[in-house]
Amino acid sequence: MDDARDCAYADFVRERSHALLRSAFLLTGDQHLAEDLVQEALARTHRAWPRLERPSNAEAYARKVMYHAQVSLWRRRRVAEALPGDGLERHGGSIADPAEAAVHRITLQRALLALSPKQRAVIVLRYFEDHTEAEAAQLLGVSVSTVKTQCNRALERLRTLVPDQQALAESEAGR
Amino acid sequence: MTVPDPLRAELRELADTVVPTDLYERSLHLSRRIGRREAAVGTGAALVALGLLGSGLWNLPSAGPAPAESVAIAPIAPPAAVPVAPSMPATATAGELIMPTRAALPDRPRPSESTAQPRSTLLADLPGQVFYEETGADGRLVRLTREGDPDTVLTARHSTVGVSLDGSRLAYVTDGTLMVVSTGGGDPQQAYAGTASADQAPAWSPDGGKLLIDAADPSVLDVATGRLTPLPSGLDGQHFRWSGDGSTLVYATEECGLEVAEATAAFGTPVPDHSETQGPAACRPVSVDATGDLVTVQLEPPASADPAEAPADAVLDTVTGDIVHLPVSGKIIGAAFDADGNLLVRSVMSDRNRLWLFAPDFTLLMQAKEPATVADLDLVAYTR
Repeated sequence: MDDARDCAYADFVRERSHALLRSAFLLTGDQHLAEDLVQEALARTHRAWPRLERPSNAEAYARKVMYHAQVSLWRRRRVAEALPGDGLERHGGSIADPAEAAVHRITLQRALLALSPKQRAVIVLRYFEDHTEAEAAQLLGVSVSTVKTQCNRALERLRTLVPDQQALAESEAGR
Repeated sequence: MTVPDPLRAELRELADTVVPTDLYERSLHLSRRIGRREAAVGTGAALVALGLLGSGLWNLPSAGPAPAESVAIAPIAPPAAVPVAPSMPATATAGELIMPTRAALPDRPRPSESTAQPRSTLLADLPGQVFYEETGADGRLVRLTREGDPDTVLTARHSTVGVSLDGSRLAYVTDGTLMVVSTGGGDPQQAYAGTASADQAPAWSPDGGKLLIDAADPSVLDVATGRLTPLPSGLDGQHFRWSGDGSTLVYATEECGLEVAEATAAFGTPVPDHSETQGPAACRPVSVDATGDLVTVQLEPPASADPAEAPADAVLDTVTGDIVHLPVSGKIIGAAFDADGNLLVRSVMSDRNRLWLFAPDFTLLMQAKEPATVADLDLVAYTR
């Protein structure tokens, strides 16, 4: 790449890699796996940079690479086994207490990891990145019907694993 | 202003815990490595091609040397035989590889290149039962038989479902509970509580007495006694499927490869992976033939996500890793083996679906129009 492109790529990484890392962390449940995933997405984006018509397309491209890599390579570890908090699923109660909030985060993290990679990807796309079903389908390269099915199954599973999510899962399923 | 809902808020909170990291240098480093690898592959392929041209090997007759003496394939248990639940054999020790005794038998039947004349074009000659699932939230399960009028066999909400090899029973997971119900009706019975199903739909053993489920780890559940036997830790994978004779397990690894293991083995053998050179990887076995020689898989299109719930669209040879060409016209949208090795293929052409039934020797037994009432459903299984 020439200097201008190098600068544009460096700017892109500086400005957007943390946003990518946040999504990757939800997808993998692990700091190091998230870094690996974003590293791969960025590297692929770097290689494709000359073909990207506009630098603004870079993030969409990187996210697409990231989701495909996460789902198709099954970057899934049984991280839940290594996480603290066995038996925490049924905690319930307020999360105003910082300790309780931490427990709650771990519970949600474990629940996310219990989903299939694709279900997790759909949940992150729909409820973290706020994509529509059509956009999520396009990003994952699947049909809208598949996104709906995976989303419903994921919410059903989350409802089982995180009882506090009962109300939201029911309301989300109805959308 | 919209009120943030709990899931969105909690996902954001969870994402906030990731530590910011500078990935610029790391990404450049990996990009260069990818570039070098691509260049090496391109150069290697060119050198191989030049070498073949220079050596004249490309011009040799295809017969080649006499095949090495074949190793006997595992004996096929009679259908009535109860397969042994996979468990660590007494003689196996840590690190000892108990490999399947599979081999590339020279006389394994394979389909012809061209479409053959079917013995029948009538759905009324369909000997088995075809199961379809509705895509969507509830996933109604429908059965099609030679009668031609599909009937609904499951309406209960479920995340995954497995059909027994004789088509008489269903096992499905709902809210983490494994339920078993007859396809002929009746009340569902709880078989196990606390199963995950995302990576392991309940898989029936050929005799219908056991179910392979994901209960924290992949395990074999004795349906009658409720006894749970975890698979050996060396069988590390998901989407386990039994061969029709119960001798073999085929499963997917987390790296999107396939492995094959004898039902009593402690470790599996990787199916050769040609995804780097010959096309897409097969990430999920859907059904296995009678012996574990062939498996229906769902191929992943390049640069596309893995549709983990989609029907199989190809048949893969577990010895060579090659995709077996199927002589059907139209696009394949479903493929399933029954326990005897008969293969049902579903294809679509000009918006019309067809069913093709091949015998284990790939004789085309039937090719018939599929009833329009199941056109929008996904093929799940073909059973006796």
